[in-house]
Amino acid sequence: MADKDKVSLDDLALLAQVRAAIEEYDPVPPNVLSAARASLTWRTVDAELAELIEDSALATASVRSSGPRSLVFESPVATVVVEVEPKNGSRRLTGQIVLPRAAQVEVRHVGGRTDVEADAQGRFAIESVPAGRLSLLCRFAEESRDLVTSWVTV
Amino acid sequence: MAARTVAELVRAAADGDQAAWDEIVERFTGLVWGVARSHRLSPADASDVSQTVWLRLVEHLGRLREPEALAGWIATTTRHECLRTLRASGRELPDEDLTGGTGPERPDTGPGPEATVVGAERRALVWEALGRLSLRCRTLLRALATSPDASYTEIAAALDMPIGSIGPTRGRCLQHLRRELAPTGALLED
Repeated sequence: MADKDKVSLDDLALLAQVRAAIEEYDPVPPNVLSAARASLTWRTVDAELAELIEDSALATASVRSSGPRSLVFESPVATVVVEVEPKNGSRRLTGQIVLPRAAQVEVRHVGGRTDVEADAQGRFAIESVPAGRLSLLCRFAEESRDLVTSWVTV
Repeated sequence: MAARTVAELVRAAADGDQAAWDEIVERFTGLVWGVARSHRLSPADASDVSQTVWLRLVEHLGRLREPEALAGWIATTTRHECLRTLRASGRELPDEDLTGGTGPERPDTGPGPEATVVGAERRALVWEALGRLSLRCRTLLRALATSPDASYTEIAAALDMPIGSIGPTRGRCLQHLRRELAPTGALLED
């Protein structure tokens, strides 16, 4: 074969066999597909994105503390720190928006949405949200863009 | 009406167009699932990774620097989520997965070299042979087989490999697969 990048008919036939095998033995489950389609409902319009930059659960053993799991989300304008504690199979959240200012915090989770107010220092607490994926959407009282955190599994 | 390009689909989905989003999901769901399963995640973990990737894409729709290179973004994000899942559960990728080597045992009930196998049996042998390849080969061949739209650039991003090595690696992985399949009689060629 002169060109090692060249795709031969034999190669295409073999890849077609691979595709047929995958379709039979490991297709995408229908519930995975329908959840993917439904994800668009979580779209936010014109919100600032705060990305997860620290997760104590992923720290190496030597620096991992035994306290609550702490998550830090950061955007160019604000930081959100959230502590997560297990509580009767669900999760208790304590957080602070380091902007700081009053806000409506909407926790978006597998069971739907839970709303809570952050005080003037940006502090908030939620007694119970279901374990699983969640994201926080913060709407500020003052003139300021909404802030949404990336999704994380707790 | 002409099919929309990936960049057009991304822009439309960012504006809330559900049909555009469905088309994106349709095109790339096999890539996400394939990368996750190639990392030997269980169906439950692969479902979690998949859902996280789609949610991350929703929040990034209006922020992608190169919407036309969506496949690369999706595959790279999936790979990172897989590694995060493995790390969080205290698992690491076994060495064989980095270098290529052993996988599940080949069943010794298969037909001999002279036999010709057809249809369902052949698909079973191909599936088993795929499982014996390295992580890199499994991921690459699954991506090539299920995402014909993805370019070498995108595949390279997904596998964290230099783009120049995709062609040769692809050739090597197909050779490995042929070598696994030859004694089973499952090769269609000749």
